[in-house]
Amino acid sequence: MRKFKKMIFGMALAMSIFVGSAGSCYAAARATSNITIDVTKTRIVGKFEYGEAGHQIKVVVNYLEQDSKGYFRDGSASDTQFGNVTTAYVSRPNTEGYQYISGYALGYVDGVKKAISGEAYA
Amino acid sequence: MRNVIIKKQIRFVKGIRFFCALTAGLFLLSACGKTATENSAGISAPTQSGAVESDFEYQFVAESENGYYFWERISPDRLNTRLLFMDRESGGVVPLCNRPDCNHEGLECNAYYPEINFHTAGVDKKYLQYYEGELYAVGLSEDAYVSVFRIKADGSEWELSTKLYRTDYARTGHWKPPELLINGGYVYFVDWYQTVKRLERIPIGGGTSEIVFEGSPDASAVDIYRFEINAGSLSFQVISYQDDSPENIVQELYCYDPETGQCSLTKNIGGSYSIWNDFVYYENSEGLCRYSMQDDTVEVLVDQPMNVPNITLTKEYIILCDQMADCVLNLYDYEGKKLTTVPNTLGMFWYFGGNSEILFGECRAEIGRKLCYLDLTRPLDELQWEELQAD
Repeated sequence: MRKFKKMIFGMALAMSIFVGSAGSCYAAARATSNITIDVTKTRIVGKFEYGEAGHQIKVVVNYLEQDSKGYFRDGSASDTQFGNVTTAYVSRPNTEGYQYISGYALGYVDGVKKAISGEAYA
Repeated sequence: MRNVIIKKQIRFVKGIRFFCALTAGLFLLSACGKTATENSAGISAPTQSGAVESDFEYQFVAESENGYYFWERISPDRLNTRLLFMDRESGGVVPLCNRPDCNHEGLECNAYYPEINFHTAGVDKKYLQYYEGELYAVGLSEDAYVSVFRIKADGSEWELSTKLYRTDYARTGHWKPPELLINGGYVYFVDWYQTVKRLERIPIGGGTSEIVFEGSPDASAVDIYRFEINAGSLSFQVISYQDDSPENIVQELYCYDPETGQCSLTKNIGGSYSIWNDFVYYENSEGLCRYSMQDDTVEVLVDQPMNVPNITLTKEYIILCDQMADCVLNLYDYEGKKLTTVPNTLGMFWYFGGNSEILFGECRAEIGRKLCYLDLTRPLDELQWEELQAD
């Protein structure tokens, strides 16, 4: 009987650990995210919100700019946050002599791409 | 023993003779060079043997003997982009991966390269150059140096080749790729984090950087870009901003001769340009112009103001993308006669250049931009942009 009780206890412990970890994975997969991009000729702004703390979150804005002589250039700007912060935010003015043409934002969670915005035009 | 010595001497002499013959042959071949013939209008146009080779205004497509390399563009269906190869003969496009049984979809595929990030080497997925049998890309080393990376032509290996300059990417998160071109054993580059920029060069593989050209310290800002190689010399454009006024801009085209180590002013022009056979083709408020470097004369080929981001010269055509007309592509002959117009059916945004066979560009997409190409071997009235993606 004693052995039987030990077995039952062990099984219950194992099952609770499994369900608990599975539950937390499920919760992480269900964490909501929101990504936005805003582009004007003089500023580009990207914002990535992730619905769960405890992760490294990062927003990267990839932009295209052009000078008055028609020369195109690419570039990117990013912001990375850790711990309890759930919003990554980047705002960058235009390079002198250049105007932004367009851009889009990418959101990363723990180094993995999770979200992408649409292309925005100035 | 004496016979052995004599035989070695004979072999040595034969070797010297062979080397002399080879050297003489190389000199004769290099003396051919590019030639041009005068057509009935008296304008020099490329001949078959002296045809303009590739003319890429933006180094985003790397041309090799067998085809073209370029980075895949991001899309909602493909967040992790790959290095692609387009076969010149078949036109097929494949990820650059020779791993057996690879489905080219996962991050373990050889065609996938890490992106710019903190504390790990990553690659900027735009610049590519094919040089002496290998591919070169630019990115960030794990210790935050803007660096050139060497990629084997089959994509099997890649490594850091040349460190250029340190950045504070870890603090700012801001990535500005350098202006870059590899030529004659050197990496020519411009650090775009500088305000008053300078053109420098470093031997491939590393070494001491030397300044090739420096912007005026009196200027509020100086940009150096639009690199082009002609007969071993590097042409580049310098835009100097004297103050915030758009009128106080000095625009110059320079040429650096690595043989003499000297920079010389070619002409005071801004905007796009292309050089061939001692002629500079450029656009301004008058239209499409041709400047003779030998005669110091300017001829207006097309009397129509344009806003042209780049000019591509091929064997048959002068190709312009007129941004004032919704990026419609115009093809001219070398007398300035318009041959055809290619409508902008794919929302083409800009183009990088090409050769007599193909032109590469980017079109608007739902997210970012998508690659497209123009098959220049087709009849003029059948030219149309087509999307370029992996098979």
